Amino acid sequence: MHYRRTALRQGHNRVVSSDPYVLVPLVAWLASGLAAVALTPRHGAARALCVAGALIFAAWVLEAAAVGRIENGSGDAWLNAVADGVFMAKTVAVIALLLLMPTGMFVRRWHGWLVVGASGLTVVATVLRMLGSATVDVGSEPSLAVPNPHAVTALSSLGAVGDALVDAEPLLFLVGVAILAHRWWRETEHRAVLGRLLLGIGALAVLLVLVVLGSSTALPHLVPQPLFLAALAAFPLLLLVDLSAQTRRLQQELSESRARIVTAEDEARRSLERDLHDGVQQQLVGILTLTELAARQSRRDPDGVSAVLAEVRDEVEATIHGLRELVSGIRPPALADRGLPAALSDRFTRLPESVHLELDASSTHRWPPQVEAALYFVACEAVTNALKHAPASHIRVALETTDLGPQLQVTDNGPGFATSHAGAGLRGLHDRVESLGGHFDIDSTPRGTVLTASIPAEPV
Amino acid sequence: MTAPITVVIAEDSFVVREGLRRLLDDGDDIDVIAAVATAPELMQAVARLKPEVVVTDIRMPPGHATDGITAALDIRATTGAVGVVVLSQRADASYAQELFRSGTAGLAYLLKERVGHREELVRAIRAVRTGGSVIDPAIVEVLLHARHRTDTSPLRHLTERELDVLAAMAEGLTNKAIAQRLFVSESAVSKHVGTIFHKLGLDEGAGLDRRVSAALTYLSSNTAPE
Repeated sequence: MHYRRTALRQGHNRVVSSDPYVLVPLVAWLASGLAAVALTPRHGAARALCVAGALIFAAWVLEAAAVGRIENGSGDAWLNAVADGVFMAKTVAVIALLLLMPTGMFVRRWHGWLVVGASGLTVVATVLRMLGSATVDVGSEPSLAVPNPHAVTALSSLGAVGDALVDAEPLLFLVGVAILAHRWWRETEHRAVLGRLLLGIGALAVLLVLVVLGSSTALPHLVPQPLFLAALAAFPLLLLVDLSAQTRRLQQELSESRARIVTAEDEARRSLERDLHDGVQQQLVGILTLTELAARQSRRDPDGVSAVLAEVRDEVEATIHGLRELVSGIRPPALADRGLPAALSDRFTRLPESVHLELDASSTHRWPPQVEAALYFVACEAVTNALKHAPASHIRVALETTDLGPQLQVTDNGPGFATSHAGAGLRGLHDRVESLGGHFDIDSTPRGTVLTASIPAEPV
Repeated sequence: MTAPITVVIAEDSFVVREGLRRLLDDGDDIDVIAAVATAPELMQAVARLKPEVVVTDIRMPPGHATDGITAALDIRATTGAVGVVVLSQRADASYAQELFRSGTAGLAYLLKERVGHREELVRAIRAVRTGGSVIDPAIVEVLLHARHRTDTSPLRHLTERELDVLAAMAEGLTNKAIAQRLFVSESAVSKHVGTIFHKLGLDEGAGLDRRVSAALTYLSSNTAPE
């Protein structure tokens, strides 16, 4: 129990007081956090780095103060509790940082919940230690213990739980590293950044083991402590470099995506012009020749006119049909008039019979037109894609309302495809969704593909 | 009775091609001897069948751009005797200017909707067969408008009435036809024509084609639409 205070005390004389190098990593973390926030104030990972840097610094100061007071025989329960809380909170912040790298957003919703849960655990552990411990002590030297004036007798049995929770802090950190390793395995697009983080953590762990072995056993000092401290200081700098590279990449992607949107718009206009010119306008010209023919025949051969007029009628019908199809492709009228679920249901009535399409769109909210249009075309393209890449037999189109806005999910059981080879259609929709501040994600495995698009919006 | 004018139609849209063929064939003044869908087919048909007049679309395979205009210029350059009526879906002046870039003889530029009036189409076919020129009134209007708005345009010296007369001239109308359209006497029209040529610094020619040429050359020479 209280391993960290024991460890801190063991190292106290050596590390904390006599070794000014310990300030190097602390300052490096703090400075890196501040620099990251200055660089990208709105980036989640930058904020986490800043918070982690501040908490690490504070944890060291508070811990030294708390242990110092206990050693002087004047242990302070409040100081002790705050030191406990900050000690755990900095680990939570580091875990959040590992989960938020490099995009600044949680890739899985439960990552966010994990951080929230760990934060809750921090508060619970702190309160239990504050109220459940009979004494304020450092664990290893009972002689220095002083009574805890805030102890609640009824909670005394729970104090040990608080101790265990605080002592489980390395476990919490290991969970964070494990998730990082899992992300490294799954998120191919961020593999390089996440791999560097894992390598960094691994190197730090190896150095730490060598330092501990070297200082606590008869083994020779394999690694001088300043080297470990330097490595500890280099870690946040690595994060800072990755973050700034990520920011540059995002800016580049943004400008590329803008260029693609402009090109796509241009191409769409051109294709619309072609469709109108070569389709409807030509059909009307054809009809014009027929009406002139009918007019001439009416003077000469009134009986022959009805046959020509029948042709005119057929051509007009074909033109109206063509125009309707064209308009549906541009923006289906049902989308504006009756909303996203109705437009999707209209659109998907014409699928092959072998495809079982499940449209789960209970939401009756209406969203801004550009949001509805983007999701409509994402759904159409995703279903087209599912049919094209593989004869998926089951496609599920789900439209949900989340706290942030509408979320569309298209799931199929086809054999999947390489997301890096997603067609221009999907890339264009990706751009479109992101230009609305939304999130677009394709997860394709040999067992099926899940496409998720969410756009932050308020119902209208 | 004179022999019908032999015509080759080039148009990639089936509906329009067949409609045009039947409409032009509906009368003994025109004989459609071939109806093709692409520019290369048109060139072959012209070489093989030696029609008097070609009626062609602009946007056709293989280029789907201004293949019809290129074909028209080719035909005029290689077989000087074949007249070409170009049917356009667009009322942009630039296509007409491209067509009339190196001369107007034997060329007509009509909007596609003129197929609704067979006699207009036939009038253009007859005109180009004899080396004449026709330009669609809508295009003339666009050209005049573009010219008129330019501050440096000599057209700014023309009165509204003179602009009307010039536009009618550019369409290939005779003084008599202009007089009828504008409800004025023929002598008044010829007076206007004289004033127009004087103001524009052009010599008044004798033939219809000279008049159209003059107007078109003038209209398309200072191409500086805003």
